[in-house]
Amino acid sequence: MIARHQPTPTTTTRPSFLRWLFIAGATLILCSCRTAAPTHNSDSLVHPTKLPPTPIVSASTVETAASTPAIAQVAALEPVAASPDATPAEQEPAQNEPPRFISPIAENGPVVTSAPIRRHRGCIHGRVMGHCPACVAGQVGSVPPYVVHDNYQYPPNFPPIRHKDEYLCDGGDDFPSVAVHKDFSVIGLEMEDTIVHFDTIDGKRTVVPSNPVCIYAPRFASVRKVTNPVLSEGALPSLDLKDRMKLASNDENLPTGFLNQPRQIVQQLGRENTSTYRDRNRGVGLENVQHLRAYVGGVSAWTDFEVVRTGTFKEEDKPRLAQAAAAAITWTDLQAVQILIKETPASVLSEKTSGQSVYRYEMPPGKPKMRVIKLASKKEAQGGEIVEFTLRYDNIGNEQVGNVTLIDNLTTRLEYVKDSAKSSLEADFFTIENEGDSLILRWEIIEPIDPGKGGVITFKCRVR
Amino acid sequence: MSRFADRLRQFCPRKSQLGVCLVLLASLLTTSYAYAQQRVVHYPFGTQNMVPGAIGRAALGKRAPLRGYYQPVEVHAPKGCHIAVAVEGVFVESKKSPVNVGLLIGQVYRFQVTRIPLRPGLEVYPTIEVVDRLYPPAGKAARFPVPVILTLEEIDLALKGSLVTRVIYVENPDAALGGHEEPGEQRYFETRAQDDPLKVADVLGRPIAILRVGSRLPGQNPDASFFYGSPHLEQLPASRQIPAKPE
Repeated sequence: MIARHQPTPTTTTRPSFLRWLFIAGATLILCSCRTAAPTHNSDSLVHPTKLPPTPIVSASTVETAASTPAIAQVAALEPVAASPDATPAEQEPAQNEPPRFISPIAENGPVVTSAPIRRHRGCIHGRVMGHCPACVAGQVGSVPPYVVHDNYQYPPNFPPIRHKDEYLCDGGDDFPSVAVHKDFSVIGLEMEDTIVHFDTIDGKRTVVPSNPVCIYAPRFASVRKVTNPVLSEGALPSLDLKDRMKLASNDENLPTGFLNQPRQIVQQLGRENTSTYRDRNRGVGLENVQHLRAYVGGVSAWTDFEVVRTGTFKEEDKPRLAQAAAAAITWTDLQAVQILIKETPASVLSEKTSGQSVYRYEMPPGKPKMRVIKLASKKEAQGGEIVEFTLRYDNIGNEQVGNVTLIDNLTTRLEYVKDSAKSSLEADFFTIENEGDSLILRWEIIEPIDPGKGGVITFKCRVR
Repeated sequence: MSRFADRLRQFCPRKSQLGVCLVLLASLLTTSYAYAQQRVVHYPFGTQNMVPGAIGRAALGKRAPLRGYYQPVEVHAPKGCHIAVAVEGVFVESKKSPVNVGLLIGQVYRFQVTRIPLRPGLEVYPTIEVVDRLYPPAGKAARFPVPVILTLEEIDLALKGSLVTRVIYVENPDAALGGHEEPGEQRYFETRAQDDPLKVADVLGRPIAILRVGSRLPGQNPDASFFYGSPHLEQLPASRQIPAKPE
């Protein structure tokens, strides 16, 4: 019988705190590694999938989207029930409509198809969080469309998320969130932020951001490099110059003393002048077209919505707001009351039988809330063009609010046009220079705002 | 928590292995975070030792929507200059600056700039290579061309024998500088001798086009290589000039 030798395990008695010290040190070193923050998105994020050509969006849809002004959704996105008046046929274009950021990328426009439902987890309580594409596009819990271009299928955030460098955005509240101290000092107000803050009856101060508005306005710059050829040129100077040649002779030509003309002029040719003149000018039509140079007061054509005039959203405005489908849903009157059963919105059942009992729900007091909507007069602009912005703010709560202050921190590429700010309510207007060589616009509404009331502020900016 | 500890013990039964597992887990998390923080470089090779057209053709292989797309380009030259484009190996009728054309991405186009003010009889032949495209709203592509601006200073440098490379990029709006730009002007940065302009532009924004101008002349009978095969282009009407400060 052969006894198999088994090595006895050797145990080393090293103190355990050394091992943990090593682990902690390695973790500290590895966690301290940081690199530069990304400046723009990756191209490699998109892996297009080849698709057969399936044109779905009609030309009328694209035309409607192109004719509407630049409108994005309101920031206070909340999951609301579908409008009872809207039929499924009316709701379908709103779902398939590309969001504001998804601009058609070719003359024919993109083709939008449906995709499986995917709930986004980056949005807290349905609010827009920074540049979150799904939140911005209002696709929280909805059906995100796929964009098809050149027979390739792209994610719903294509192309604007990849190429947001071509868009000039203003509005919203980017991270960090804006906060207002007791002495009305504002912190966290980044460039492009637009907010309204107000005081409630119980002394609470609340900040509400507006919706972001994006305008297509790419700006270009360049990097130059001058490469000179590696060349050396030089001429050797003459060391000595000897000219042994001398003048042999010197001839002098005498000038002409006189000149005779041998022949006289035989004849002279000339052209006769025109004896008659016939006028062939005919009468031309005269049109006197007088263009509108300016308007005073009233609501601009591009902001002639019920929600801007009175603060109440109507179904008739939905086609004009189809480009911002999420905004149109959010601006319904159902924002105050919502019926959700296990996160599923309740559907409206219409029957001919009359109701047996009526339930009345009274809103408890102490629910102050404000809403601010930002609109732009143009979807795209070149450098030097003037864009008019409209801020519509409303008290959608059930109690009075005071110290209402609207602040718009303009981005670098927007230059405020002097004396262009107008307010429907009496307000004190201030401008402060910001770090981006632009201005912070601030309106302090003097009077408190009652429930259901609101106002409109307009101002103009020149695109740099 | 106990379930997680049990699961961890299955993989790391001994305490010494547990420490190694924790170190590996921490390194994995930190490296993934660092990878996500890295800035993506579109053009790692730059323009050094790259023949004209190689950068654009490399971009075609990465991004599908670039193929077959005519990117509108507005070529500016000093006031009074005339610009002619090459069609099938011949410079066609020259037009007054600026000239709007639609250029294929990844191709190299040869232009002729004549009637240079105060330089009678002198001509330069710049090339333009488009390496990326814009994504404007539908029907607005011609309204937003890529401006390629050739200054009188660069023409003088080219006539003296220098090679001027200008990489035009889309400015990152988050890092944009203030101030106005007049039409026909473009803000530019001069690179150092050891820097590559494409790499610098890649840091500052998204490179779109490359302008090269030197002192090369076509000669009596220029061959196809001078025109880089004369790729097809689209002649576009002049875009609407917007005054910098109306009223």
